[in-house]
Amino acid sequence: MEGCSIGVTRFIAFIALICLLTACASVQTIPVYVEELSVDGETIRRLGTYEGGGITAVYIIQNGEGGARAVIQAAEAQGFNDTIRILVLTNVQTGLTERVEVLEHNETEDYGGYVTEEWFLGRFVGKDAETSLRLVKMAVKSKEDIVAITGATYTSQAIVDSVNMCLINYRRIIEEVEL
Amino acid sequence: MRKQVRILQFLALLLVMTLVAVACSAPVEAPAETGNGAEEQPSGQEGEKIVISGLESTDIEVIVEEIKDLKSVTVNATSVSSSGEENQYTVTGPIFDDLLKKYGKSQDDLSGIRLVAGDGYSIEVSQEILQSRDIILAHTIDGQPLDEKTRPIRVVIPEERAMYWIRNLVKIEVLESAPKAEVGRVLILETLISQANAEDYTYYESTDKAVKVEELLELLALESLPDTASFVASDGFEKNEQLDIFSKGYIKFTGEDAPLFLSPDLPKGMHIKSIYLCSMGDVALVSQQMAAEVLGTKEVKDKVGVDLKELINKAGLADADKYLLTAADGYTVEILREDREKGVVFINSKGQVTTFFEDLPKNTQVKDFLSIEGIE
Repeated sequence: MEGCSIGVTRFIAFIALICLLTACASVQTIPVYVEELSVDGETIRRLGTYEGGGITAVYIIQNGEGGARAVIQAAEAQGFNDTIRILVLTNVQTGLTERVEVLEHNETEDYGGYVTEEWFLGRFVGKDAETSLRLVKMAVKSKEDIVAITGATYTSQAIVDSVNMCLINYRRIIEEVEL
Repeated sequence: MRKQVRILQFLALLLVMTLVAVACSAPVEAPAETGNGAEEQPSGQEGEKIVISGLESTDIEVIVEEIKDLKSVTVNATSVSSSGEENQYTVTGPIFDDLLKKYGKSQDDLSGIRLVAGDGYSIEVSQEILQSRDIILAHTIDGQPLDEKTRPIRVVIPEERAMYWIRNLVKIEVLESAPKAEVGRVLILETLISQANAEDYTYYESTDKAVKVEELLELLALESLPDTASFVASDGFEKNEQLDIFSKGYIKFTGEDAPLFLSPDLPKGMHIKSIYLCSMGDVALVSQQMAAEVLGTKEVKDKVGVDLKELINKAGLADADKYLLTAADGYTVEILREDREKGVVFINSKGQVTTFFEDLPKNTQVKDFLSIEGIE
């Protein structure tokens, strides 16, 4: 009887070990670019169910009281040369975009390479998440307008498309998730 | 003992449940990145054609394979971009002159060609370049076939700026030689622009001001429009542009690179920075500010500006016994041929381009100086 119990215990321990290994393998570390956007006392939660279709990652930054401060999304779109990966941080309290960063690109230096410049990315800051942005070529005429980088319309369009994708996804998250 | 076993079993079960819970709460794996990053390699160029117009009475369609069958050369060539960036390539392809020989012609016979790319980018190659350079119709660069955006042919003109190295060549237009018209009127670009409606034009990080070329052409009220506009930039760079392309663009007159010809619908390589001179038929537009950079300035009675005689000579204004100076408001005054060298064109305290002549009456000080032309 005692031998049987020991066998069962060993079996359970084996299963436990398998589970432990599976759990360890599936736990992902939070990327540095997301961690850097949180402050002490805040926690970061991943919303895997809202990823896909160009949105490669969604995180919610929660403050000490458990309320959501921001939604961070990583997205990608085809640029002129290659895929461009971006990050969009939307402030949950204001519903406005707070930060747009380019995580990775391979655009030509003299053309789309300007995509990482603050003066270009700054054009996406403070945009209402309820709206969709529109690329224009010369000058801004409305709040939704984003002026393309001179000579790099294709690259600029890729960023606008990615940010719009994140804004649509953000609206879905706000509607469906209790933040 | 049994109790200990049960405790162990309970603990193990608890551990399993905890681990299962942890595993289930772990985030969903992010989808793998979909962009492969690598551009598709050409899959063959069967049937692709390049059009040559103006060589014979009808357009000639040349199969790309025929071009590739011509004797190829391989050379090391350096491209220099407008920002000065240099890139070295080993390019392989036949010489344009060998293609022309098939049609009984030579580069030396041509007065100019225009190379046209699939995206609408085009550039004129002058007779001077045709007579001094080999033009390589490259099908291989650095040992590799051309990529999707560059095929079927990339034009390479060694020793010439990268703007001539057009990708995705679709057409070569052979241009007719047109006798250069004598300039009968020189206009000051800054004053002409001040008569047009300025619009905001975002250029990289700054929002500058620009005017439509179409509006400038209306203000010029030219009797007949030439086919091309010829530009000289402050760094000596020269370029011809088709007037129908030029007329659809803008001149940005504030901020970096001004006066700058550009258009939101034109490839950046067709923009022309720091325009000093623009000639269209018998009219020449000259920028006072760029002329000051190119020609230097002189001081006449505390007025620092460009020498009038030099300004109009460089613009190609025909010699005359008298000259008529016109202001933007229509005011006119005549000066004699010998008075040209007494004059200076400067910017006054109100920002207006103004003339001043040493020892001539005050009425020869033309504010908002718009134009000068020879009169009988």
